[in-house]
Amino acid sequence: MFDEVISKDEQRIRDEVRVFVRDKVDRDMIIAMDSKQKEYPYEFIKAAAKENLLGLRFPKEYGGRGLGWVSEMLAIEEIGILGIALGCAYSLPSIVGEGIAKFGTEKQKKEYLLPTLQGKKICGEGLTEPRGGSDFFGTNTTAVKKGDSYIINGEKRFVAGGVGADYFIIYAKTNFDDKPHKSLTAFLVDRDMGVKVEEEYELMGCRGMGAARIMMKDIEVPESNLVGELDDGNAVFNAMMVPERLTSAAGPIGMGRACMEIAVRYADKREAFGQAIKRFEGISFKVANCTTQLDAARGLVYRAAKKADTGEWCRKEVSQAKFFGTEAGFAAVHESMQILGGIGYTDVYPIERLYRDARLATIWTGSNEVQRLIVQNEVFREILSEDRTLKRDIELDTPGAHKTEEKIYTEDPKKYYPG
Amino acid sequence: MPIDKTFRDTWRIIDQHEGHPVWMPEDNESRIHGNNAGVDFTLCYGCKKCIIACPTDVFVIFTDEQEGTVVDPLNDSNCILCLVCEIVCPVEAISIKREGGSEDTLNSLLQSSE
Repeated sequence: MFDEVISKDEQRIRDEVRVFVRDKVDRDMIIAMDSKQKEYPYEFIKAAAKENLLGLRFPKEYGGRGLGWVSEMLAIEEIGILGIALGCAYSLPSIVGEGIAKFGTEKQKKEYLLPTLQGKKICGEGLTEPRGGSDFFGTNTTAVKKGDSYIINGEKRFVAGGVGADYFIIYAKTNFDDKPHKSLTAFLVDRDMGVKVEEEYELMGCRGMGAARIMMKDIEVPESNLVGELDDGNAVFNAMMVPERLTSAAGPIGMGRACMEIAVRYADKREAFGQAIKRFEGISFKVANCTTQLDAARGLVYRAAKKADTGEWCRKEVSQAKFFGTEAGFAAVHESMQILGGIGYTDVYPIERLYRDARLATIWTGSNEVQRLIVQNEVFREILSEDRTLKRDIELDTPGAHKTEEKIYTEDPKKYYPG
Repeated sequence: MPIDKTFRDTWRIIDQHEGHPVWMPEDNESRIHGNNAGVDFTLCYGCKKCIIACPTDVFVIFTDEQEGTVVDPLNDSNCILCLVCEIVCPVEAISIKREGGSEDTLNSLLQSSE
């Protein structure tokens, strides 16, 4: 699968994670999480850490393997078949870790990143607030300087690991005069500093990840826990959104793939009207469409990952991968259920669980509507700012090219006004 | 070599076991237990994946005449034909009975009311 465009090393890490997923993840844990019997998959994190599979791209000295983004995407797709909750548990060290690895102090890397990748500390992130998630820069949470500390007040909603995490990366308003993107700062906040859980959410899917609303009331955080520059949470946020959205894209590809594999096996065996249902185009074309969409999604994910490896600005590519990957993944899960018919709607097969899981992917980590806003903004900027002398002037390749007055209509709107 | 899916038509019943038939071909000593859910005892090695997957507890662990561990479709009549056991079986030792159906039943579905 995509072996033509990935390296031997990347194939090896994919196969290693595939074996981990096959052998080291207890099905009873997955079922307990989905049936609300389990609040956080600690043992999964510890098992992944034991195999040195967390935060693959971070330096070895901080617990990673120093691999590239494509390797991490391959790993996430494999983990993704376990469902979105474990995919999230696996991704959070990558997301939070990005903020610490890129902007954290040496002390923060030793005290937070290293134990996170060793499975000794569980991390979470606080971005969304009750007032909204997509409108991130409107954050209401505040951090006010007091001596060598900051006093944080506010609440964060839909925090994965709200129950379960040992610490959170929290964004709070620290500048009350400047523009929104110059007013936020990122902090590392330990649960023990006084973070309270106010609400544990009952979710359609993604269960067992401790999704909660957390409250911070007059929490004192030492200045040394500030991540990056004061008032430049924007830089940390933009960096974290790369793994946040790329992991969001790759996981559902795994979910879609897993469901398609079930559907193909089922369609091969299930008979109707005297023949296997795979013989009907109504079934087989779903397989053709969905697997093609999944492959296209992989292409976008790997391309974004390769651009992320260069360190260049890659927000367009990441957002394209996020909305296309999550929609291709969900469509594949959806059509797999259709192929199985009624039995696919039961818990005899895991498709109904993955359906509930995959639905979330189009909403979280910046809704797909926000991703499209980002993509169009980047595309307009790219095209309108490019050097037009480098390309053929295709607008002249038509007989009416000289009709310039017809191309852009300009007229005084009051031209026909009386008097 | 997967289970012979034609066993219900081409093999003969030589015994009854816990309420389900035991089948044997003409040309060898193979045995298939069950009717709705047929399990080929020469292929099954008792991995239990079908026991875990089956929503209606059709299968139980059983020791066959050769002292081998296999799964027996003890509750064969409980089978709901969901096919999950067939799909998870790593050695294709299970064959679930297919419901009837043909080009004729499709045409009947599509024909006008006249």
